[in-house]
Amino acid sequence: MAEELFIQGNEACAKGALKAGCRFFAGYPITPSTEVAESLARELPKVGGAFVQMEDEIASAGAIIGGSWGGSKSMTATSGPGFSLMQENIGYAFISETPIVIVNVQRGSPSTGQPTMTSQSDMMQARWGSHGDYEPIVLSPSSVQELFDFTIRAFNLAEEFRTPVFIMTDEVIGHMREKIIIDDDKIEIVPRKRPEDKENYLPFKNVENGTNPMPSFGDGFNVHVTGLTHDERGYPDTNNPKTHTDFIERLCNKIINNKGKICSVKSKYCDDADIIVISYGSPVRSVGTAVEQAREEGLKAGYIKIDTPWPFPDKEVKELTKNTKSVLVAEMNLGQMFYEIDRVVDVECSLIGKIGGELHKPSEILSKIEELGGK
Amino acid sequence: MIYIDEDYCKGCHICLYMCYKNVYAISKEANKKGVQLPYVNFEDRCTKCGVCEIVCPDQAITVDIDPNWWIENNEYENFNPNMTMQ
Amino acid sequence: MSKPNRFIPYLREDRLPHIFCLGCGNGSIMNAFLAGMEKAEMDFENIAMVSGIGCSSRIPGYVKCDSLHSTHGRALSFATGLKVSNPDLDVVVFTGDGDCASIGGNHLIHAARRNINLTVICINNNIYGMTGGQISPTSPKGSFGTTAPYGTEDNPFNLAELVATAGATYSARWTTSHIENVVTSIKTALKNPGFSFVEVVSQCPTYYGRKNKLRTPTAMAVTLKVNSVLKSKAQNMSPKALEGKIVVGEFANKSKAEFTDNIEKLVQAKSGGKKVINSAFEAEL
Repeated sequence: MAEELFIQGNEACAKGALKAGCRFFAGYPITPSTEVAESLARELPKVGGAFVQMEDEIASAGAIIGGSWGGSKSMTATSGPGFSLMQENIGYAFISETPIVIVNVQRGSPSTGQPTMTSQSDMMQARWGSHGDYEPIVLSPSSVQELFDFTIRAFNLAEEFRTPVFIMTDEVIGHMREKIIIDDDKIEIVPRKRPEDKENYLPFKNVENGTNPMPSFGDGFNVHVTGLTHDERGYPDTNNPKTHTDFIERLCNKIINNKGKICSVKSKYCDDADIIVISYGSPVRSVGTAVEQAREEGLKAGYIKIDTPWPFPDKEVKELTKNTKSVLVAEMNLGQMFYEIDRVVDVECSLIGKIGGELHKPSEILSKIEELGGK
Repeated sequence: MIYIDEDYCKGCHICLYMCYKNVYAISKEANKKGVQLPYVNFEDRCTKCGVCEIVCPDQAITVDIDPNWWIENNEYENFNPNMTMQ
Repeated sequence: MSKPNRFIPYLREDRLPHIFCLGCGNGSIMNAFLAGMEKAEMDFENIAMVSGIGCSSRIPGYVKCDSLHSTHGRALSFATGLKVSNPDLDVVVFTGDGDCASIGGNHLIHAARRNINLTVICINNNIYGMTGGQISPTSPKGSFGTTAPYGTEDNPFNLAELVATAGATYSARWTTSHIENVVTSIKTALKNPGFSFVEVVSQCPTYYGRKNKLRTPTAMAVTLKVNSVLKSKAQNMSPKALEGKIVVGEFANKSKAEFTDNIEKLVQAKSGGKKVINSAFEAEL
């Protein structure tokens, strides 16, 4: 049975989390993400879950990792400054292969920046924020419905690959009210897989697809979880170059080798387009309008919407842009994903970056398309 | 009986200091690891209090305690709730 | 050897002997914890250990139970999440003075304020051992470290008092030279339904001892013993007489509403059922 609601993005995120089976939320108030925490503080006790307001974002990230090993799907929500504080524990979640979901409702930055204004300036932080080599999964929604859907997908991906997943949304989507449809029949939930063999279980084994089943604490598997480089039993083995190489390569490869399952892009008019506009998150909305207007003017424009900025869908983007003459990237920063796209596409790539807290106007993108399209 | 595990002992001699009855002494010669092992010098003094066992940082000391060690020759009148030898 | 050591069955034997230096107090306190656990008649299968970074935080890696060796200073936040997620577990946190008083100070006072049912064993060796002997927030005034070559002038933290003031229901301080008291306090702490904190002042002969003219483990143990004053006796002593002394005893032992109990009550009031546990494994909720 489908349910229709007219709700705010952050509330939709909380609803998605509850549908996906999230039963533990630890967070710290920060504009513009606070409504996620507020909704879950209200709703989690009603479904047998727990909400804890922690003392800071470092503790929030720590608590959800602990919560996840305690056997609950766990999530936190934050914005730029809080995301910066969480970075160390995000690295811990990667090396300890802990499924968690972190929602970052981006705001104008660096530092405290513009708390109530929108931005996409944390995209590279999501990729490289914590120290070390790792492969994050990042989802970027561009409507309230997508924020709901992507939250569920984030939990599913986290459980499937035993890895942290980030939802990099922004203030516009977080605070916008839109109609969403919740169709329980179409929602698919991936539960955590518990290992079977207690005697021979190795929590960090070098298995073929890279992901081992994961018990929770108290199940009797006596796992040792550490942030040190560890062998397949979980015991620290920090001085052996081979252990570290094999281990970190496995962690990265379990994402890289499954790009086909993770990556998703949407596109329109790309087959015959001379200029393709690439965007993700809320600028997609302006880009869509601008491209339609350009088509009305007779310009051969098309657009690509990236759902998963990381791991970057290079195969898909390369394929879609192979016949075009130029590529325009629209994002709300001074160029972050632009460089990744520039690396992947073969044609000339230009950027329309906008900071200051306002969305691109379709007219701005349209005039850039006209300029590049030779009109 | 008190057992000292040569493989685990690192020779810190905390047991010597912590033992209330000065049961232990240090051997004059080092073993092949270079550790001057403690040895049980006065076993008769031992009250089997178990302090050395807990305080040994390297899990090298085992005090073999018979759970009914205070009952000698099945003479139950000697039962001592304070768990001391006297 | 006819009888194995009484603590070996609880340990990951394939990892022994452990990495602690000669005469380090960490091994003694690990034994004291296991002895206290036996005395408290705890179910070893149900114990989960959490630690941060540091020498003392390596202890959970040697104990054969579920253990989470987390990031520096954040052990208590990981433990909070673990305990709230599954309140049936007995969560024990091993931490050091740098870990819980310096980088994790905020988490320490907030966990105490919440009165969450954790047992925290803080091994206070007055120095950063893992990184090579820098002074810590508990280093006594005038003591030397690699970052205090002329002696530190900073005032040290009194952790057991701090935690008691922050709202913990059980708080005690002992030294490794009071090992029976440590065992008894750990037993009480494990049984106490609330935030329990046991600070054990411990010896670090390798760094603290070498920098402060106490080179042998026994010299350090003697110093700990002669410098400690019972709390009841310390109450009648002047601040001047107490300089450089370690006040030992219990600083809090009371009862108060517990954090996970409050969550359980809230869940029961709002959902009519119990708090769900291990829900991540369920396909439908």
